[in-house]
Amino acid sequence: MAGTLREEMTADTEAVAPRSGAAARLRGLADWIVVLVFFLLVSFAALPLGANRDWAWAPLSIAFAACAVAVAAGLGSRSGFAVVDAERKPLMTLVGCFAVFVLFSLFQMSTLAPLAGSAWLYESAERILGSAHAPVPAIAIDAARNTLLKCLTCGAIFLTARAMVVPIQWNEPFGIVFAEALACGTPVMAVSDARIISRLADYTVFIVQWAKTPREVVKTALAALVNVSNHVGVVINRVNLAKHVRYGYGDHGDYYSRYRGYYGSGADMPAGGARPALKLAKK
Amino acid sequence: MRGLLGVGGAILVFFAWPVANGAWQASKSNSTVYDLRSGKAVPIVDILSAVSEQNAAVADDPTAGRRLARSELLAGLALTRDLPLTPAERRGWLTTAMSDLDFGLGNAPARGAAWARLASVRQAVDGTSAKVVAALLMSIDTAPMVALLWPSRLRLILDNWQFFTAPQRERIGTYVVTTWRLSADKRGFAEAIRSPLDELLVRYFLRDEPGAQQELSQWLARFGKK
Repeated sequence: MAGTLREEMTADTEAVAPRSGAAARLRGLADWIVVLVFFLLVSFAALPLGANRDWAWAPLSIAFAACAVAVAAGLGSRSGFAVVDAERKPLMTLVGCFAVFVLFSLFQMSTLAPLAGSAWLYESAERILGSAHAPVPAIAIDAARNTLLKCLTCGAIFLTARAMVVPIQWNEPFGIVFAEALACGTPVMAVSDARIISRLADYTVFIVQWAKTPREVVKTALAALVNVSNHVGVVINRVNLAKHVRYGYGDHGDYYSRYRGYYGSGADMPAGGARPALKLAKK
Repeated sequence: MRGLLGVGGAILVFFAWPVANGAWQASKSNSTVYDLRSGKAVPIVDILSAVSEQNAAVADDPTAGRRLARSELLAGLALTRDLPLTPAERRGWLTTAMSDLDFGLGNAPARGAAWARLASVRQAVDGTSAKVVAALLMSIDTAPMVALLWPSRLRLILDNWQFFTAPQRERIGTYVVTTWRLSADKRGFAEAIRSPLDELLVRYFLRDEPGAQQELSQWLARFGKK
């Protein structure tokens, strides 16, 4: 049985020839567009159908379900679904998003009442009518509005930001905003905290994202840090080595060979895993 | 995998079909509902047909939205005096409408028009009371400025004035004045006044509004109430 499965998988892998170059990129772009259109369809389908969330999902679900049943009955490709690398990422993103939606809905269903936003409405309705509880779509919408959408929106903002500078005015117990920004790969400069902590630290490392952190931000931050710290070092991360080489900088050969261990994968590391020491500038 | 896909699709159809069918049944009565909303004369045959279509929609898909839609039709018909209906029919439709509103608003309370409808239905079934006031206040909270609702809302305020508490009266007084200021057309005020006592109350609400007393008199004269 296992042998048969392996043979089938091998046959599938051979049947789907790996794509490369412009065609692969075009295919990947097309996949993302399909996923985007699907999301838009699901999100806004209620609008042309009268913006009625009570029932607008039903005709769509029947259409999708009919497709699923038709495919299951043998309509379409008989060799199953072949997913190439370019398709895997958007598909997994889609599956992940749906999973998150379902988990949020299940979480809030346990209380049968929205946790925020329209919660007062249900409390008032219960007082007047004797009983009231939110239906699952209302709970899911509340959850999405109050948590998921907020996270997505914040994520989108951070992803498009070149850097985040936070002039902290108070003793924040847990700066979740920093974690969110860092999760999106956005450089964070928490002005007050960094300067305060730098006074207490032996060394200060300032991380600059290659080709993203503005030069002015780096210069200003370094000037501020040098004033309060004895040892300040700068590390550039997320360097696109291929692009860096293409730019034809004079140092690229040296840079590439000496610092490959920092930015490359494990396989690129020098023998023994030794990395060049970080040089710190004295004040 | 293929079997799982087929079973999943079949389950989805099983759950979605009644909802889609209910929406389809309800959509058949849309034209009649719109005609009734806009005050057009509709033959009684069409009205009864619309009621049966709404009943079928609720039977297929007994959700809050579906039941609130039926309550609009039933309450509207039962409270329209010039329709050839028996008192038993009116009573039955009002009871069904009240049950639909209780269920529907319990599941979807952010509907100001439906709360105003509940206040009207409660008043029609049980008379004026604090229960009418509670639904009316909720209607104002959820949809304070709906021009079409204003005449019936003011009528409910005037009819149930004795059941408002002192803080509620103060709040309603402010609400009436705000609506007066924001209404380009003041005919809703004149439409709601049906007795000298009503007029006295409305004039009391507007006592500090410059020019309001004269303007109200003009509107009342236009409607032949003065």
